[in-house]
Amino acid sequence: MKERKTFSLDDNVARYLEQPHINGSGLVNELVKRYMRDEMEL
Amino acid sequence: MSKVTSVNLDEESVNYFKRENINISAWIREMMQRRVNGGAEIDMREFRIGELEREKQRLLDEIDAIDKELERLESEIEHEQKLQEKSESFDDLIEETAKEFITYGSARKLRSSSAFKRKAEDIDMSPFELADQVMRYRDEVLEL
Repeated sequence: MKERKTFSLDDNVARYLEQPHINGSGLVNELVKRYMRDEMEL
Repeated sequence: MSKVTSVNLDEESVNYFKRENINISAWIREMMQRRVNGGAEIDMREFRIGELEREKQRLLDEIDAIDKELERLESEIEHEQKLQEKSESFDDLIEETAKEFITYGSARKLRSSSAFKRKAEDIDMSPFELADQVMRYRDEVLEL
């Protein structure tokens, strides 16, 4: 199940996510999972 | 200046943020800012490779489904053409008789029918010969 989250981003970040070849949701979920597994730090 | 954006988060991710009492928006803003600025620890190319591999598999599955449907439709057409050719190899009277006596389950039952015998006489054939051809028509064209 997915939950839609809306938030504000700096323009350059929003532009990055809006690129057609970037799956914004997929990227964020992947980053969260790596963070949860302690594979990366904020 | 900031822009409003939305993403679909997995339930697991949302629950994690809630459990750890982390502000999701702030976390994503910070993480993405670092990603865009090239400061995050993971290689974006690795993520992109995974994404492309999944997309490639999806397209291959789609091609496979298209191939199967093409094969099915071509096979249906070929089968119908074969039946048509077989049907044309029989006299129209045989086709007509086969359909008229469709409920008679065997050559013996056909031959024992008075109506069938009359039909055979009308078209100048013996009941044996007519029943034999009707059964062949059923078998080859009607596939009964």
